[in-house]
Amino acid sequence: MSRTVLEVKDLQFRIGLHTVLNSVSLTLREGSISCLLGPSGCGKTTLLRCIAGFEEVDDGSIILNQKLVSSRDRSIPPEKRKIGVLFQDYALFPHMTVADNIGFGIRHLPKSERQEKIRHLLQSVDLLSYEMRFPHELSGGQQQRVALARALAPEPELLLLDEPFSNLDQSLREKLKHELKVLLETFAVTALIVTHNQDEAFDMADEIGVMAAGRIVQWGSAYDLYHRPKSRVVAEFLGTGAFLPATIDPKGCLESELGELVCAEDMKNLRGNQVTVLLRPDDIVHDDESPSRALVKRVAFRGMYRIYTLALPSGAEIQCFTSSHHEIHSVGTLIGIRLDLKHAVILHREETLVEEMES
Amino acid sequence: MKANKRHFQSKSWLFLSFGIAGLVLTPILVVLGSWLLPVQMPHWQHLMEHLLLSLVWQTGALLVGVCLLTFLIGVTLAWLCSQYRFPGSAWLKRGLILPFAIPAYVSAFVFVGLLDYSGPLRTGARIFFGSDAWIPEIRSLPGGIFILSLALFPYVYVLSFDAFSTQGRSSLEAARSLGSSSFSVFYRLAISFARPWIAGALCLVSLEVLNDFGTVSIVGVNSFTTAIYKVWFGFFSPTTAAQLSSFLVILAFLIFYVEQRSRQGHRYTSSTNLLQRQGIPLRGMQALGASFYALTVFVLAFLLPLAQLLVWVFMDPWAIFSLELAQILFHSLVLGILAASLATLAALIVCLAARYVPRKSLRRSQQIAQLGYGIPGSVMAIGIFLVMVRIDHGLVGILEKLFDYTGPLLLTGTILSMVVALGIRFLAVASSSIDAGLTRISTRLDEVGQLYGTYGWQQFRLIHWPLLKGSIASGFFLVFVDVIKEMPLTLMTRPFGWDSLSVRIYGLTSEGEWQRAALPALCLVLIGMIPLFLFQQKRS
Repeated sequence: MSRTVLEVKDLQFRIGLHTVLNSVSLTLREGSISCLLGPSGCGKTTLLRCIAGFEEVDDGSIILNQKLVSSRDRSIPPEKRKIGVLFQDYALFPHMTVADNIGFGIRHLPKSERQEKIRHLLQSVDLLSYEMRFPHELSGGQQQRVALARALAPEPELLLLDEPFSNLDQSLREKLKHELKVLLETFAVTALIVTHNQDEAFDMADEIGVMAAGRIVQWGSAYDLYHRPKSRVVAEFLGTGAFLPATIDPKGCLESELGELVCAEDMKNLRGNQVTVLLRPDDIVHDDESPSRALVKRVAFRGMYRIYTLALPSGAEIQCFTSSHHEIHSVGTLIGIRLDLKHAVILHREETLVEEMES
Repeated sequence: MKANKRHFQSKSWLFLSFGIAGLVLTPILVVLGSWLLPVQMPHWQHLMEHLLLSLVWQTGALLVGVCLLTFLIGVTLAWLCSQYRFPGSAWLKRGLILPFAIPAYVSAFVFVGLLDYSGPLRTGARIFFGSDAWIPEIRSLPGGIFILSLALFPYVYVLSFDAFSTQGRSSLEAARSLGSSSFSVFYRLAISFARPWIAGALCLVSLEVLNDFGTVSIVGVNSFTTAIYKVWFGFFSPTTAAQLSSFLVILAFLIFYVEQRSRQGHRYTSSTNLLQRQGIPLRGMQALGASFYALTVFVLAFLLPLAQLLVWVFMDPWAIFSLELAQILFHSLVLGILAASLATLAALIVCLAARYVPRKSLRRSQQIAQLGYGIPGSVMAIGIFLVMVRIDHGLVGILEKLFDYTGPLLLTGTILSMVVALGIRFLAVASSSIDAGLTRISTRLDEVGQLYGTYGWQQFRLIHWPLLKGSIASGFFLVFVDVIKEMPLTLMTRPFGWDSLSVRIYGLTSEGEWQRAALPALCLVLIGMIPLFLFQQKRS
């Protein structure tokens, strides 16, 4: 088991009466890449700033390398934490060259050693010939790499990345996500990324924490979060999906308007309960032969596939993918659908997990 | 936001910033508190009987008149130049800020000289028409309104130009596309969304009117400033002058407050080049009319005064090389450099304090430090004078006890008190430039600094100074030019017999020596043109 680099325990952070972080806990192991994922305003950037030491916490603790750095009455200043930060806007010093920017955090080193290190970093981020350029002469991706090199120069124990791709356009993002991941792995640095974009989180991170309203609501791998969400918030935030009301009958089977969904022995003691079943679009297959019919409400073309938003007779909405080569069904018509549940995520109406089961 | 406060040297920033705010507040409070000093009834009786009524009425009329006229000229020109193309519009829209370079009191004496009994206009009128009675008298209240408006309309012009070409550009285009005529777009839409800008500009105009001393004394209008001067140096009663000033302070602060509020309404949404935009072309008579109107204003406000100054100067070109000019020019430069250094340094301290130590009180202190700009020069002069005299007497008292000192007062009437007064008054000019520069520097950069342990002086030296030096320099320069053009404060606080450009102009014009005043005035205009070029570069 690798070493624990960061441990956050029951962190509280308030601004006035507003609780921004509410009892947040997390643990990062050495060399791991983790991600805080959540909608804007959920507190993820604040958590990052608390870890970096820019904000003082109200309660709880932050322990970096077995050393308490933040608590109710203790706050080690940022420069003593050995943390690197890659800011959202990169925050490169516009008046310094690329080399000076990278050398900023290692000013205390002897000149030759410093230059050696700068050269080495420039080489790693493939910007060797850009040493004497100024930030405004670089592209967005190059600026990001300079910022990364600057953050890595003092060899931090932990690297924090705040929305690292939000300043780049879509096509560039794909390429840079991969590059950044390779670089982080090359330097074997423990990293914590903050983002609101699930693709970024899925692509970059080994472990993801979903944040909502100042809490980490679930921590786990991308697969777990997507297929085994522990709450409706997580299920809704990650990917598209619909929530279908169902009841559990005495045989332990889920009854919905699409018929019997799944049955399980151990659900028998929950009989009579009103529940919600998470249906991902890939759980529903379009089948013209199927007797189950749903009304097409919207169609969206997405290149490789179409997303149909369908209304069931009760008014509940579900979604379904078809190949984009398949004939198009127009809005207002009825199409046949069939359930193809690989596994069911069953949620109480009040949104906590009842059971998660393979079928 | 709760930031890491303890690692800044917050105490010293606090003391420095509060100290500067206190320095600015002192003369203001002294003027307001002057009513606690004995009220000299004979002076007040004289004032009530002979002066007060006329000065309230004339100051009021001047304010209203100048605001109306600058509004009319400024807004219409801004609309024409920002929305349309007509012959000359390309350079007129730049050129119309040039009148900023001509202080109102300079164009005042130029017009008075031009319209003098022996001046070219009246002489010509008598020769060709046999009478000059139809030429209006410029030494009058309407004359004062006319001259001040010509000098001050660029405030309204510049700010509404920006408003018309940024803020509402798309809504104006939307209105056009929906079939509104251009007049109704102007009247119903443009004026209403440009309101915060126009209101702000009119407040600045009003403050300038209240501050004006040179123009009103040349055209013979009784205003608060001239009355304060008369009471102080005529009755030799600084207390009564301060009491009289307190009314002016209250009025000026009301306007200043409105101006500061109106700024909150300014939201620039566009960063594209305002001057390069293509307008709608005007044709035929409309185009001619627009050209004629804009050109007339430009000639009256800039070209004519400048040409007359040049004519006067070339009537005696050798004066350019006189020792006399060299001396007053030197005085002005020294004064400008000292006062601008003081204002810039103080502004830098209050701005940085508010940045480095995130406390509400320091933001407040930064705002208070800017109040000096709202105080008319004459009021600042009397306030500083009263403070300095008090300190001086204390100082001399101590020196008497310790060293048997029997000499004169040490601070009052020295360059020091003049520099302090000017520095306080123009601190806001430097501060707005520095503050704008600071807000352009992302606080993320400060945080990168903190990550690597750069605070305080190091933070300033490594991060802020290199990025801010341009803004500091332009702040310094703007104050420098303002100080050199400033008249009442310099006049009332200068050491005896110490002449600067503006003081010399006052001395010469009060004796009707228009031609001799032309040379120092031309120097002022030339110095005043430099910041306009800087400003123009910034706009484009």
